[in-house]
Amino acid sequence: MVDYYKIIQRSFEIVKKNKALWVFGLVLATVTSGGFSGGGSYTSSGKTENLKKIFEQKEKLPKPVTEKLSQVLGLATQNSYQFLTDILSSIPLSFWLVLILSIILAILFSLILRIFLTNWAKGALFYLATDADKGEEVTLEKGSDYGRKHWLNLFIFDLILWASFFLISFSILIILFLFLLIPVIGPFIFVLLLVIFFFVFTASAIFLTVWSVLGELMIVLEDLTYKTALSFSLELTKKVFWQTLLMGIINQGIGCLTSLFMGLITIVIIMMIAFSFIINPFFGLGMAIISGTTLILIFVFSLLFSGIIKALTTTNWVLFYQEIKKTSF
Amino acid sequence: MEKEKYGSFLRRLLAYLFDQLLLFLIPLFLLLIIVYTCSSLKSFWLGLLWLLWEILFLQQFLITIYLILTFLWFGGSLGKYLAGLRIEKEDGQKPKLTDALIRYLVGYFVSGLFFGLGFWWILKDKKRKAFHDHFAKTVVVEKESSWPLIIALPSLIVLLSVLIINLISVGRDRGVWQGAGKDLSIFGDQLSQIILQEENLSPKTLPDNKINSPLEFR
Repeated sequence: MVDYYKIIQRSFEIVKKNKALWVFGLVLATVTSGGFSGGGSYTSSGKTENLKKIFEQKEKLPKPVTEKLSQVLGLATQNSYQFLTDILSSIPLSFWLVLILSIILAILFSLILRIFLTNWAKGALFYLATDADKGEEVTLEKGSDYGRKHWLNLFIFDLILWASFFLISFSILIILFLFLLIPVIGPFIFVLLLVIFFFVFTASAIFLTVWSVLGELMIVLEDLTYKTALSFSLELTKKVFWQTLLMGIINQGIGCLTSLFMGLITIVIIMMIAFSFIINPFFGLGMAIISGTTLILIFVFSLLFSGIIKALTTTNWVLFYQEIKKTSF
Repeated sequence: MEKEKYGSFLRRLLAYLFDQLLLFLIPLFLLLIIVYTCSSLKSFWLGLLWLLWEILFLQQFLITIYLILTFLWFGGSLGKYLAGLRIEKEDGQKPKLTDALIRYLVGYFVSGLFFGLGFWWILKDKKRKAFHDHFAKTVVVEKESSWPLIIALPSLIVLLSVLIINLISVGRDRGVWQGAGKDLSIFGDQLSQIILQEENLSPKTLPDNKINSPLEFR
């Protein structure tokens, strides 16, 4: 039976003592922390809606007013948009082509760099955590070396696993949609199969996540290639699935708790500022300056904090793997 | 090796500053060419668009290539060379392309995280190594005196100042700045008109939920 409390306790000691782990944790937290902001602000979409209403209203108004409307506003509006379209149309096609190509290359470069950084930092963290547990010296050089050695295997391993999963799922979905062509009973069969598919998809995704984690650990800690790791880690996953799932839930819980904690602090500070303003504007201003500064510091340090948590959860995985290795190999 | 033989933070900073100012000459020269040769305001704005592309995309690529190639061929950038600094591998071997990529692409990114902690680490480290030095297993050593940089850096600043002054005066003589300023104010007026139109014509809801046109009173 895996002693999860002992693992977390030991991880905490290791991460507290070895600051080099924080660096790689910070890298992993930075490159894997979601990232693409939504396109289009609320303000701009709101303005587009207003424009639509303006044109709709124009049709409903009686003629003389409508005519006055165009006289008063149409000309200026036309000039503004004409001005903008004039500028845009005068830009040669070559510039647009070069710009699009540059953006594509920049995105590709960022993607490649992100893939390397993620797997390099992961490999470094796995290896350094093992070294730290043994009491050996933990350095950035060693971590970087091991990250460089294993990043490609880690990347290809995950790519094969998840690409296959999504390809198979997508193919099954297409087959399911074909059932809709069967008259009368087709839609019922489709809905039934879709529900079954949903549960199977979720269960498979969870299994694959566990397989992926164990595979990554084996690649770095047992020095395996992705090909060997695929089969070895599958065997291991079948043996220790539930223990690994529990470890994953605990790690997610740690991550969620810390996010909740940071969020609560932020809310409390904002509420303090709001109440202070209600009591007395001058007092509120003073509170706002102090609390605002605190908020900025919290925001800045939250990235470092998330890096430390990442190092902690990764060390949890390494120690967990060493535990199950004793019993399962 | 004594700590004094390793490249100090100040020397490395001045070398970095020299490199950045040197590379700033590229967009500055391009802007000069645009201002000298533009035949109309339209061609000026078009040139400026190309300059913006150069700063956002090409300049970043050129900086990276410059740093990587100078590291591989000369053991450091021109700024470091003038500062008497050399980047060496700790094992004494010749640096490879992978070392350069790790040092500049990966290492600089990591060093830049959290307020450039990796760069400030030079002050704390025994061998005055930044994070990117640790990752690439390199060390920056002081090989020669930094007098060339002490002469070159102010000279470069003077050169840049002269070019900027020249740029401003040529632009003024050709009426580029005046014309561009007028264009910008017209553009700003047009934009603010669009915004004002949208705000004035946005339908307001009456208490009984009927939409009322603000112009109905006419």
